[in-house]
Amino acid sequence: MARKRRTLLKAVVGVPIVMLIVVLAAYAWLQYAPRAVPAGQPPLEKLQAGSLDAVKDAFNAGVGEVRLLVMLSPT
Amino acid sequence: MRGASALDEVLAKFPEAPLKVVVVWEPVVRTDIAPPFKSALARIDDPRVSQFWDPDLALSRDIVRAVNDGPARYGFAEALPEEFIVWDVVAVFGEVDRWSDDLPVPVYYGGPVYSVTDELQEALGAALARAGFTGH
Repeated sequence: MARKRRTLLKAVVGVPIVMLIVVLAAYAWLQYAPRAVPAGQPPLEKLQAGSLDAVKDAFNAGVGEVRLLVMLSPT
Repeated sequence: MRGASALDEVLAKFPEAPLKVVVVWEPVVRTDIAPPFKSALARIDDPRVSQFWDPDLALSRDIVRAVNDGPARYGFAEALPEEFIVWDVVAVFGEVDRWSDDLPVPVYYGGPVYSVTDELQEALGAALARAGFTGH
């Protein structure tokens, strides 16, 4: 009887923990997995703390050329 | 995602043109819970492109701020709602424009991107011609 209770307790505690680990791992993978861009392009850059400096730098690096700015949703 | 493919098709029509393309991905719809995957990034397969992920919608907010500081400058009759999100849009800028505080005024903008490819191609061709580029 006591053994069955221990097994049940392990399941009640263990299953949610495993599920939580799986969810956290999936979330981490979604957020931090490397994102490969096509050949010749600089790596995908995440804008830090809402700063637009990186975008402005890329834009201004093209002075002398026609520029396009495109804003898209990933899905 | 259709916008990305549409953009790639337009760029392919100007393979030798002196262009710089800045693509900013931003979370707009409920499914945008992570940066774009390779499948999305690969849709714009052109070395003249730089791609960014803007999880805080900072660029959209900055554009709304700039427009609302002077709607007429950007061709708007009135200010945009503060919560307005700028997305699925493409803008073309001349070769002399420099971005310091406010986004420069584009010579063309439109969206959704997939539905303005003809306009975009025309605007791009005109901007390139003004910049002295005549070939494709």
